[in-house]
Amino acid sequence: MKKFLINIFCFCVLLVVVDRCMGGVFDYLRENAKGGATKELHYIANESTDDVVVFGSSRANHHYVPQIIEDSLDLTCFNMGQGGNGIVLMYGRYQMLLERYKPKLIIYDVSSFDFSNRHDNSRYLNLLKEYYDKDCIKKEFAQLVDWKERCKLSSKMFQANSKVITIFGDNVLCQDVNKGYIPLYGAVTDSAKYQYEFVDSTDWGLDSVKLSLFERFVCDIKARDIPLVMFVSPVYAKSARVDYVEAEKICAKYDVPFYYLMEMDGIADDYTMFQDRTHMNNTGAEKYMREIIPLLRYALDK
Amino acid sequence: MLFNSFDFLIVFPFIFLLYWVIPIKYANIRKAFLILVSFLLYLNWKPWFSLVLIWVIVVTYLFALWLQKTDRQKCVVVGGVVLALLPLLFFKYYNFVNELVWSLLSCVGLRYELKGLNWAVPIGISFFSFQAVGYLLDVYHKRVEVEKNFWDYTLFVSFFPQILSGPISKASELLPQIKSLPKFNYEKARNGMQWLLWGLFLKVVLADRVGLYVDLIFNNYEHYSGWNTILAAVLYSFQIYGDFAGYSFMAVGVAKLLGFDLINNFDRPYFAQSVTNFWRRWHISLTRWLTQQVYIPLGGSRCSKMRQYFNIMVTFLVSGIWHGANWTFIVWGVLHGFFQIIEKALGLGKFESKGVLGVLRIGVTFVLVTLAWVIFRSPSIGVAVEFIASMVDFNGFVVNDINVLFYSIMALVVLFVWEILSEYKRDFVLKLSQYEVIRWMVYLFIVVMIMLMGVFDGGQFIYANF
Repeated sequence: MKKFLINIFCFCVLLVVVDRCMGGVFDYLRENAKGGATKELHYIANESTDDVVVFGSSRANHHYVPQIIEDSLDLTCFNMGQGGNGIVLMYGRYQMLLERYKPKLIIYDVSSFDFSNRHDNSRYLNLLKEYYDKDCIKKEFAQLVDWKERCKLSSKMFQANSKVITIFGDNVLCQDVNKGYIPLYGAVTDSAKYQYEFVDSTDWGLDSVKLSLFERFVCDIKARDIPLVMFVSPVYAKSARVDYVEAEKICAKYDVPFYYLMEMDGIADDYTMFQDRTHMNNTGAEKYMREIIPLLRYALDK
Repeated sequence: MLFNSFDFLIVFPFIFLLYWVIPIKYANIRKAFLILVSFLLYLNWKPWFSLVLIWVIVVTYLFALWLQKTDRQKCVVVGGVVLALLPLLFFKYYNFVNELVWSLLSCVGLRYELKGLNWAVPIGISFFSFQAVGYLLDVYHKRVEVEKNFWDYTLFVSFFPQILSGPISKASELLPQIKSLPKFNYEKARNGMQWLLWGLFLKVVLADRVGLYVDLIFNNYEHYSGWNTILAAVLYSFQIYGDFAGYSFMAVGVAKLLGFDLINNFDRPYFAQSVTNFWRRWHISLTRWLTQQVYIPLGGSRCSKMRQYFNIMVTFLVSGIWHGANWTFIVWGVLHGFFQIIEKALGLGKFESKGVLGVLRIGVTFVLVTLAWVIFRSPSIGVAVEFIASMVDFNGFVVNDINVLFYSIMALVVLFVWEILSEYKRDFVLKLSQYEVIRWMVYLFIVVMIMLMGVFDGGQFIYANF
């Protein structure tokens, strides 16, 4: 028994050493990534000092063109939206930015991911796991996951769980980050529009944790006197404004401009502007950007 | 509590230490501790499930005692088996039989419908029910002595490593170990850790990762081409193997750490050269149970050819029904029975081929088993037929998440290397395993793969539902 327990103990010690070494290797690979998601995530977490930042889901990712914002406002811009994510990830990213600097303007594209009860919230923390060593991220995890999950995160290897291939791939291939913007190409067919029932947050119910995180996010930005503009960008489907009532209420409470542009004339009724029912293609995104630039300028001037 | 959960990782070291801290001279306290742990872990699912477990234990225990004292043994054993299987039949098959009766009656214009049950099926019910009934039948056939000690018998049925998904132990194997509890054995404990680790790898690195792709395609097969559906079907074969063998290996490992030997449920089944041989390598404890309690009592192979075929078909029909209350499982069972009848008629199940022919036979068996798995995995026969039809529509290949496929391939490579070495280069593996450095490097490699590539929210084992 004694020999068995000693061997188990030795193996655990060896594992901790390997874990730390692997952590060091992954940190190095993240810092030296040539492109792709690894470089982008590292940039957002550790390097970005952009004046304008865009937060939101895939809709933010595909709809806000940093180059147009930079050219129009004469400020640097980075799109930090992330597909399949919402306020849980964005709040973490915002906290990481605050450790370094204060952006001059924050744009937030609200989506169903911000309030719906569709998934367990730990799913949205996935991209923050590798930055768990940062205090601000630790605090967010403490609020959203139990001690067992946090215990696992003390392992550097677990922090990199399911990301190994991406990390290594991004050190070999050089995929352009394009300031976080991912353009979509192609268009839906005209007849598709009214077949689409817009499925949104109310179908799954509202998540009180996300709502309170969203309010804390808005409140904190206001307290720091950073201009914030909220948008609901166009969709090519039947829209449901009722899903955004909570966001609108929070924005009204903190005097944050909230623009509901889901049914925007000239875009929402034109199928050539969309790649699918909820995502505009590059043509739609560029047209949309030109429409909202005055609103951004107004927010900055105010 | 699942072996792949973080909770188990925290709880098990305490169980292990407390169990071995109790001196061997207090064997009864050790047994009581194991019974307590087994029930506490089972209660963790849903407390009322344990009532079903207690029912099965009490019924089979009392009827086995009664068998000794009565002349009407056949009536007693039938009564005992029916009563012991009653919860299984009720919880698992009530809705199925209800729907079946309703559709039959509605054919003749009668529309009497009983209310369907919306209750959860007690976890592991098929496994512990079959283990307990197996004991009762063994007592009836005088294959084992009746167990008079109720607590030993309770531990035999409720032993926590095997209660969720087997293996289905025989009384002649496990009860003697319970009667004289084994002392701590370093080699056995080390071997237990190896099984535990390999099982965990199969579950979280292979099965749950491959499952991400399989679920995506099986749930939306109409949007994918034949290449995608074929790949999903092949990967499902590995998913179910990784999932079930993973659980079984972990169960064997946990039992070994506590000093017990359980039957190994899997012996590299995808190297089988015939479906007959596949069943000697897949879910070995169930095959053995069905052979002993169904096939042999029906006459086994000591009868006419036609009767043999009938016996095989009935045995695999029972196997299908055991797996679940759905036509898909029944057809799956019948299909396996059919394959084996063909093999028996052609004499293929009796010999193994070497070289290219051997590889070819392995390939053909794998294809047949995979096709049957498609039916097994599908929610209905209609969907299974559509899925299989979609496999011949070779119109492009959609890659949704290249990472999932990469991780799956890496896990499969490790599996193949290990299984090929174990199957064909056994001596080489044994020689290598004598070097401690190599052993530790392999352990470390497996743990690193689990931490870096494991899917930790994969949850339930597929076979825990059966």
